[in-house]
Amino acid sequence: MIGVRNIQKNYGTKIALNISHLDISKGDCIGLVGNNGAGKTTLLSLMLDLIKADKGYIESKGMKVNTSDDWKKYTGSYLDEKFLIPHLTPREYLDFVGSLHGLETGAVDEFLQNNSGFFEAELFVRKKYIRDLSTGNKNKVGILSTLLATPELIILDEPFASLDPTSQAWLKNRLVQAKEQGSTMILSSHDLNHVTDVSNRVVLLENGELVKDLATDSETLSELENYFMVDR
Amino acid sequence: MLIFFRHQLLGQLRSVFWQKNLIITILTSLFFLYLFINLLLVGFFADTIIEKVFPGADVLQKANQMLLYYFVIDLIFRFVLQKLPDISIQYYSLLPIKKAKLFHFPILGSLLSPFNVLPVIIMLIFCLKQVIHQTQWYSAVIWLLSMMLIVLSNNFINFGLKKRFSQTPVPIILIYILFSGFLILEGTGMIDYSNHWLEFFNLLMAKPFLLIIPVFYFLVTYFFSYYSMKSLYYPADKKLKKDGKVSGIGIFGFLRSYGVVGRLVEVELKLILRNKRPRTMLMLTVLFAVYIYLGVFNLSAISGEEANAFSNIIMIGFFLFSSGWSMLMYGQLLFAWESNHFDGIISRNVSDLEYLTAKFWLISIIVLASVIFIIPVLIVSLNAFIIGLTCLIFNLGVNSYVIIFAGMFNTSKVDPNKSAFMNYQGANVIHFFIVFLILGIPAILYLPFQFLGLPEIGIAFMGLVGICGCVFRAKVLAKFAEFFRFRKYKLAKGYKEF
Repeated sequence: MIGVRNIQKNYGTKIALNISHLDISKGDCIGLVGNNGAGKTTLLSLMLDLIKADKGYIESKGMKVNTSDDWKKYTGSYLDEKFLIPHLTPREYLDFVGSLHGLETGAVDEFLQNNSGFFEAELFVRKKYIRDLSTGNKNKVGILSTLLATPELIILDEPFASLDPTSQAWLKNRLVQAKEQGSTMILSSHDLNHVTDVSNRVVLLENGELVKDLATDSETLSELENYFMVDR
Repeated sequence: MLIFFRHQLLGQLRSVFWQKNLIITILTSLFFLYLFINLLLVGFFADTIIEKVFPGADVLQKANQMLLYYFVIDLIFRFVLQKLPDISIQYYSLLPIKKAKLFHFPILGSLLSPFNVLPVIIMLIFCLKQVIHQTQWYSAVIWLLSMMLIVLSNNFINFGLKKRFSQTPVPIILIYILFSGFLILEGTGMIDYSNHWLEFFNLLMAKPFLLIIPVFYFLVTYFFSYYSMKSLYYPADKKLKKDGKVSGIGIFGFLRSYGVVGRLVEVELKLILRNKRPRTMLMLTVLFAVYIYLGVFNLSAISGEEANAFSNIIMIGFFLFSSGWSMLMYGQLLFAWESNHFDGIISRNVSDLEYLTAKFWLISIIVLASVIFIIPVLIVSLNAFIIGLTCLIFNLGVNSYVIIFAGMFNTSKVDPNKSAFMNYQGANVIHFFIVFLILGIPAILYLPFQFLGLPEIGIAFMGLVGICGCVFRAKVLAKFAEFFRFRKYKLAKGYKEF
């Protein structure tokens, strides 16, 4: 589904990311972990063609993401607040994103009903602009917009951050469900518990390099915990 | 206390305004320096000016009389132009500083503004040059002190009003009405404010203990700003008030039938309606319409005479601006308006071509809306109307591309919900080039015909080029989209910095 080929991204003289080869096959759920500055967001931004690679490229279904627009049709993503349009209400925003994928208002209604466990009912009723929402609610609107068009590929940066415990549990179930429906997923997170619960593969980055690529099993969590505990 | 001033100063020195662009910084600095020197000269030669304008009048008396006008105008200027100190007391509210003390900082900090420093310097000059020679020394001191107190009171009135009514234009309208009322009463001689004022002032200078009146006034205004500040201390309260107002819900529904492009245009029209800065600009455009109509009346004078080369060129320039003004105002920050959510647009299911097409349609809507400026010209002269229409087509078919293309080079971030006054966010050298091109291209196309003595053909040629531009829209935009594919990283990167 996704192929990372010899990709390199520098900020000034610092190498932010340098991965020679990474393949993500259809149906995979990748948990991306690493400390601050490891290159997680850089990798996700490159996958979404938000920044320009200094070397190499990323392909999605065999097409380079920086020369084709085809991947946008089947990719749902939410990295940060910059994805939200601040002067729209949450409902208007979902309608807008839906319309980009050919969804009618009725389909958005249905989607909200099916996912009502994730948010307070008022969020989509109240007349409030996105820029006036709390961080948690902004995050929820962003995640919902990602799931809206049942995308084949889901890319989320720190989806569990600033969510309340109920929503975290709900999101975990929802992502597992999406995986069962055949979606490919790439999630970055600092929460090792959540990552190992949802993903079937964990990719560990450090200083822009790919350090570990593990298939998730019962040992993974403790292995990761050990890795991050060690005095380095 | 000192630390606070230090932070405020650092805030100004490290302001992004200085780091943005060297040329803009130099140009604006030169402009302000020029203004500063001018004002100093006015202060220094105030006495000669008064003698020239009112021959035979007592300089000091006349100056005192006119100061009333000065104070009122000063207040209006402050309200439009003066910025409050940037430093928020929220940063300090968790530190062990008494809350009551905290509110004094920004108020006192606002005293450092050039709006206070300049008048004080000018008054000092005038006092040393004139007042001190005409009266007793103690009267001169009282003169200077009461002047300063009143100027600084204006500062506090402005501070308090701005804090209280930062969201609405109510106070500026109120001040405007009060000032107009004051002028009418004074002008018709119903109440002679300036003479009452003068009597009061003469009394003040004769009896030093009356200084207590300006001091009292000063303290009242100070505490007005203090309590305005205090009542708005909790930021959450401010937020709550905004809730529940959502504008422009149903208006743009018709755009939805135009697919992705229509949706993008809808989102951006909402951006104009729901953010402070573009909304203010929209209102200014309406004001601008008044000037256009004034221009139209003058045009009747021009076209009534024998049309000469000069009048044709003036008319083309005039019409290029009347139908291009709003396009230029909005378009110079075409992509920067969306800097808050640029990432969201370029990673969603929107192709670069669709995005640019939406921008083109948005500009077209803005230009076409300015047709209302041109229709009344028909009453004046058919010839002028044809020129107006040609310029509109030219704006639509050529200058719109200039705006889109130049917009791709402006990588500075803009927060559309900040006030429009004295806002240099997004200011860029590119804006000068845009204006240059918008007037330059038509000049290159038209002027040769003018010099050959064929102005009609020149205008027809301009129109033809404009129509070609509209016809080949898809081709041009496709080329732009190819370019945008490389440019967008620069834009996205620029919008993340700050």
